[in-house]
Amino acid sequence: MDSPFLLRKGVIKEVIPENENTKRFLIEVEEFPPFKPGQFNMLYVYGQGEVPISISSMRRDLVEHTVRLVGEVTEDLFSMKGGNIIGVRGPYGSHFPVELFRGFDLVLVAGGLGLADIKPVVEYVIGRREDYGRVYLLVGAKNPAGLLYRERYGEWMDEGIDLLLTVDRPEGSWEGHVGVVTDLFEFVDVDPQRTVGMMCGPEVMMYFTVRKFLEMGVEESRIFLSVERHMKCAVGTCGHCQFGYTFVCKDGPVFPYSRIKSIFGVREL
Amino acid sequence: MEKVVPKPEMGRLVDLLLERGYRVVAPVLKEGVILFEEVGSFSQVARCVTEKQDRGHYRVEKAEEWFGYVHGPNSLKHFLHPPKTDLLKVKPDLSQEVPIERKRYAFFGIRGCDIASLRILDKVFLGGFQDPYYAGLREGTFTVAFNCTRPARTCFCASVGTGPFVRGGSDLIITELRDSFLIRATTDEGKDVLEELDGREPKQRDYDEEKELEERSLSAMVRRVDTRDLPSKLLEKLESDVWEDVARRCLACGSCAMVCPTCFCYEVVDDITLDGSGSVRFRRWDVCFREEFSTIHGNPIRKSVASRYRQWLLHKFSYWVGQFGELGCVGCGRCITWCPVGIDITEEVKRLLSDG
Ligand SMILES: Cc1cc2nc3c(=O)[nH]c(=O)nc-3n(C[C@H](O)[C@H](O)[C@H](O)COP(=O)(O)OP(=O)(O)OC[C@H]3O[C@@H](n4cnc5c(N)ncnc54)[C@H](O)[C@@H]3O)c2cc1C
Ligand code: SF4
Ligand code: SF4
Ligand code: FES
Repeated sequence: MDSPFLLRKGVIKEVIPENENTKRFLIEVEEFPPFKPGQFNMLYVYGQGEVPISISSMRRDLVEHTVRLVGEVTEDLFSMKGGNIIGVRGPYGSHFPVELFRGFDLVLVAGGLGLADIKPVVEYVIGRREDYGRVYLLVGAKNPAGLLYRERYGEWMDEGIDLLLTVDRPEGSWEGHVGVVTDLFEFVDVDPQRTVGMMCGPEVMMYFTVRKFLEMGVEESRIFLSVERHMKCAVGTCGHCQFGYTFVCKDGPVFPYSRIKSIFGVREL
Repeated sequence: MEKVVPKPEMGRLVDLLLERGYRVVAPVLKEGVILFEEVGSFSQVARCVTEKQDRGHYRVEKAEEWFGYVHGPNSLKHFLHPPKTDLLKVKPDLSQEVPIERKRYAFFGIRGCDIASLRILDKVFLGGFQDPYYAGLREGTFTVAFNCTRPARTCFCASVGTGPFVRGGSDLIITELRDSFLIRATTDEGKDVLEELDGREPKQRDYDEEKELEERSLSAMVRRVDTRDLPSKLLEKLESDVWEDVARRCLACGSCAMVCPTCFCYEVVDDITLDGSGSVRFRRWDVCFREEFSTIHGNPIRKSVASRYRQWLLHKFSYWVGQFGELGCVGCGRCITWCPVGIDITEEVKRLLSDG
C-alpha cells in the first residue's frame, strides 16, 4: 500500500508573471498521470508545506499552474525560478464534465483567479470545437490587470469562443464593460434547455451566477461550480475540506448545483 | 463457540494474547481515571470499580462487579490514529522515505461503542484512498469486547444501535455473570483462544442471567437520541437559533472532539531540521473548533463559535451519513462527560428537533 502523501518530483521550467501577485509555473513532472479540466494538484515546497492548486492548462508536456501570492507557501513558490524543484501529487478531485455534453451550448463563467480553473475547459473545447454549440466565456476581474492570460484571448475568439469581459474598476485604457460578471448574461444568447453552465470564482460571485442560470431556465444538474475549502490531505482523511455532507477534495471541487443545493450559500458552512 | 469460564481465567486470557505476540491494550485505573493503555499482565487491568459519569463529571468508585464500568476519556483512536504520526521523511532533493509503523494490537475490555468506532474509522481510512499508516496499526487486530451491564448516565449507545450489548464483529464477546464469564467466539482467531480457556458449556440459567443483565442495562440508560430521519431533519436546522445559544456556553476548547472515538481530523506539519538537511512531514489531530481549521486566504469560513459547533454536531449526526453511509456518533457519551461546561450533545439534538 503506497502512501498517498508520496510526492512526484517537479522541475520548474519556466515562471511567467501574469500580474503583480500572480505567476504561472510550467513544471516538468515525470509520468504525470492523465487529468481532466477542473482537477487540482497538491504542490509542496520543501520544509514549508503543501497547497492545493488547480491545473491551469490541458497541455501534457509540462504541468501548468497559476498561483496567486497570499501567504507562506505561495510566497516561497514565488521566490522560485527555472531549475528549482517542488513536490507534486495529484491529479485530485472531480472535474468539469464537458465530455458529457456534446451538442450543448456552454456558458463558462470565471471570476478573477477562477479563470485558472476554467481555462482547461476552454482548451478542451477548442480541441473539439465542432462538438459543441455556442460557447461563451464570461470573465470578470477587479481591474484590467486581474484579467489573466490576456495574450490568449485573440486565439480563443478565433477558435469560436464568445469572450465577454468586465472589470469592477476600470483603469488605464480600459474601454470595455464595467460591472459584475453576472451583468454579462445580458449578452448571452443560448437555448436554456440545451445549455450547460460551468463556473469558478469567489463564492458570492458563484452564488449570483447560479441564480442567473436558474432564472434563464438551465437545469440544476447542468450547472457546475468549483468550490474552495481549506485542504490538508486531498484524499478525504484530514477532514479540513468538509462542505456539509461532502469532502471538497474527493467529491468536489466541481459539483453540480443539484448536489449541494441545500448547503450552498448557507453562511459559515 | 460459547463457554462459561470461571473468573480467574481472565488472567489467562490476557497471558494467552501476550504469548501470541499481541500488544495488549486494556483499561487501567490511573489517578482516578480509567484509561486504555498497553499492559504486560492482567494485574494492571482495572477491576472491581465502576464509574459515575454525568455532564462535566467523572468519578471512579469501588464495586462488586469486575468490569462494571465503561470507559474514560481515551479510546482506540489513540492507538490506531495516534495524536501524532510521521508521514514522510523528505530531503531537499525530494528523495523520500515513508515511515510506516506496524503493531498488532489486542484490544481487551472494549465495549460495543468501541467496536462500532473501529468500523467507522475503517471506513474513513480504508474505505476510499487507503491510508497505510492506519492500516499498519490496524491489520491483525484482535478484540475482546465486553457487553455493558452498567452503562454510565452519559451513554446512549442503544439509540444509535451500537450497544449496550456488542453488535457486530469482535473476536471474543464477554458477559460478566455473577460468578463467571460467558464468552462467545465469533471468529476463528477467537475460537482458537477460547479453546485454551478452562470452562464448561453454558446452561439455560446462564442465558437467563445474561438476558436479565441486558434488560437491566437497557433500562438503566437515561439518555437517548431520536435518530429517525435525523440526518435530513438536522439539515433543515442550519439557520436555527439554537446554535447561537450553544455558542454562548461553548468555550470552543475542542475537548469533545479530542475524546470522541470517531473524530479523525488532522493537520499536516513540516518539521525541518535546524540545518535544513531533512524535513519530517507529520500529521497531528486537529479540531473543527479552531478558527484556523477552515481558514482560506486568511479568512476563516467558520468564524463564529456557533458555526463551529454546528459543524461538529451536524458532522456526527447528519453529514457523516452522506460521507460514509452511517452516523458518526457511537453514543459513547465521552463528549458529554468531558465537556468542561457540561454541554450535552443529546440535549442539543433534542432542542434542535423541537425548534421551529
Ligand atoms: C481545489 C483548490 C484549487 C485551488 N486553485 C488555486 C489556483 O489555481 N491558484 C491559486 O493561487 N490558488 C488556488 N487555490 C487556493 C490556494 O490553495 C491557497 O491560496 C493557498 O493554499 C494559500 O497558501 P499559503 O501558504 O500561501 O497561505 P497562508 O495563508 O500563509 O497559509 C494557509 C495555509 O493553509 C492551508 N490551506 C489549505 N487550503 C487552503 C486554501 N484553500 N486556501 C488557503 N489556505 C489553504 C495551506 O496549508 C496553507 O499553507 C485553490 C484552492 C483549492 C481548494
Ligand atoms: S459525538 Fe460524543 S457520544 Fe458520539 S461518539 Fe463522539 S464522543 Fe461519543
Ligand atoms: S462542546 Fe464542550 S468540549 Fe466541545 S468545544 Fe464546546 S466547550 Fe469544549
Ligand atoms: S483535504 Fe483532507 S479531507 Fe479533503
